[in-house]
Amino acid sequence: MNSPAKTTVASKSIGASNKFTPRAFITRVCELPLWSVLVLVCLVLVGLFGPVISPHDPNAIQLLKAHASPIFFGGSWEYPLGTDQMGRDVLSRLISGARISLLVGFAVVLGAGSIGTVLALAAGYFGGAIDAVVSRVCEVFIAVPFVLVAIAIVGAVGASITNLVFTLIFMSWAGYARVLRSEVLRLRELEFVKLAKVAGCSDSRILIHHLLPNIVNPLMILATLQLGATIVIEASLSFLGLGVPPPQATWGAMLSEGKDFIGFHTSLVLFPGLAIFVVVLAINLLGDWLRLRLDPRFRQ
Amino acid sequence: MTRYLASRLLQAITTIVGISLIVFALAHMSGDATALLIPPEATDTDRLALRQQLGLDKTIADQYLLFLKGAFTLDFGNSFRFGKPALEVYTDRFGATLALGLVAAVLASVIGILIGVYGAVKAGKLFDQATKLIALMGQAIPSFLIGIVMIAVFAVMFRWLPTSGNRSWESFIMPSIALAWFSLASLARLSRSSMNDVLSTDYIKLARLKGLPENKVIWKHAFRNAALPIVTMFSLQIVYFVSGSVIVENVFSWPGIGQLSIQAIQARDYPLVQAIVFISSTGIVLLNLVVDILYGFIDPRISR
Repeated sequence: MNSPAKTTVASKSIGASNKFTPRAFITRVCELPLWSVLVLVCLVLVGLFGPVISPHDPNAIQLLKAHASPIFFGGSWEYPLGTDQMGRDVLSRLISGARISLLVGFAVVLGAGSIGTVLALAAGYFGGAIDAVVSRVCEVFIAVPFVLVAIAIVGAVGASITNLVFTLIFMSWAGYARVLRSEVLRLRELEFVKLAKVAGCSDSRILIHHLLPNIVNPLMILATLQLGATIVIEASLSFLGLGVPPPQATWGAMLSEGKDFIGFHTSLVLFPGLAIFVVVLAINLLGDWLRLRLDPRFRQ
Repeated sequence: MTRYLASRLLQAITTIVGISLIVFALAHMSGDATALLIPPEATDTDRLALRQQLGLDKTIADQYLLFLKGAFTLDFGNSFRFGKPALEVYTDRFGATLALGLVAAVLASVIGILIGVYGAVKAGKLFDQATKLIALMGQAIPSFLIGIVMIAVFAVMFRWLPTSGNRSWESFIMPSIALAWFSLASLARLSRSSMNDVLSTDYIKLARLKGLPENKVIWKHAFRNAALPIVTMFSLQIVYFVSGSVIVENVFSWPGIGQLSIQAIQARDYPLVQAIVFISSTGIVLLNLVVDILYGFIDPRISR
């Protein structure tokens, strides 16, 4: 595994990335998983400008135009990806769904990531009673079946985008807290933290200026992988009818509705299915790439 | 060892108490339960009587203690919808879920480990690339999506397999693959990296130099040392099987706990919802506890 040739290449590329020159910059950009980044940039653009670029109103029902075929199955350019059982434009609904996936994904990762980071810093640095409480509560959330409890909560408080986001934050912060806490525990024992203490730094200064910057890498890796997981979970919940309520288009709900037409209008499950697959694959590849780049355990 | 046992046991108990708090809160998040059970034209005395009967007139703390007492004797009250004890409704459906879960677990572990181990043995070759592809697909294709794809291909296009029900052995094929999917991929990925580490050690080189048959080197010498993280991961994945069964059972109309849970949630049948969430979550905690204790006996390094 550790052939000498590989080690020199690895150390060269890391050494090169430290100095900022135009050439090093280009090399780094070229090393990016281009395909992943391209998909994600497209997704963000579609999410941001959804209402502008969407050819039709995603919720406009036209029963007379129901089940139009997509353009490459003999349809017309008016509805490039066809229409669903209620005559709603599939392309516009996919765009509208992209917005929801993105919104829920980023809101949940941001919320759960912040809560998890703060609790991990507090628990790992101060230890004692805070650590005991945070660790015990984390164990509860990691032990329960995520989807089952999430749908039970959404069912109890009522399905809406806000409720969904808060439920998913409530359920997923523990994953961040557990991983980052062990990272803080390791860092706390290192020289630079002890020296900072000796130098008279306050706790808040050590936490914000010394510990936080050192857990940004694992946080970024976790957040990327969690973004993919959150999009899958949102789609799963909407598929079960306990995520984002109708008529709002989501990829999961489109799959759930299209499921009844497999064999007759298979394109109704093909497009939302492809959308989920491509986006989650792109995010996971980016997460794996980040892990190889940023996690020191993989650098050798 | 005693210390390890005691700390693991204490940890399991606090986790179960935490679960009971979440489950108790579930019924209270949805507002007044009596509104679901009583017609709107009922008199106030009827309402009050019902509240007293359900124990809703007591303080929150008393209600929780009452719930906890019920939960530890597995008494969650009568299901609103089925009119019989929630536990009975649960056990009626449990067999179907257990059968599907066991088939999926065997599928995920046997195929996942085989793919991962041979991926590591054939590192860099075509088979290894295929292993990586399977691991990626497993993470990127959610279980309901692979379920729908399989229905479209094997049930609707070729008409080989039934789309729903659990009457014959053929009806197990698609649901068990969908349920095993995620776990299979992550086990393949972990087995591959775990085997990779072991295969590059000196004692494996020695075993090969001694001229042992390759199969013996792989399974007896390498795999036994790579197995610990794989078994750990598998025990942690039991929780995914429970979550996954909710989704997969709904895709394939499988008459188990997963399908029951959606019906119960949609009907706001809280005794039943509470029974399902509490029993499933506690079951996972207890199962993980047993696995950890077994480890302590098998591998003395852990309990130290």
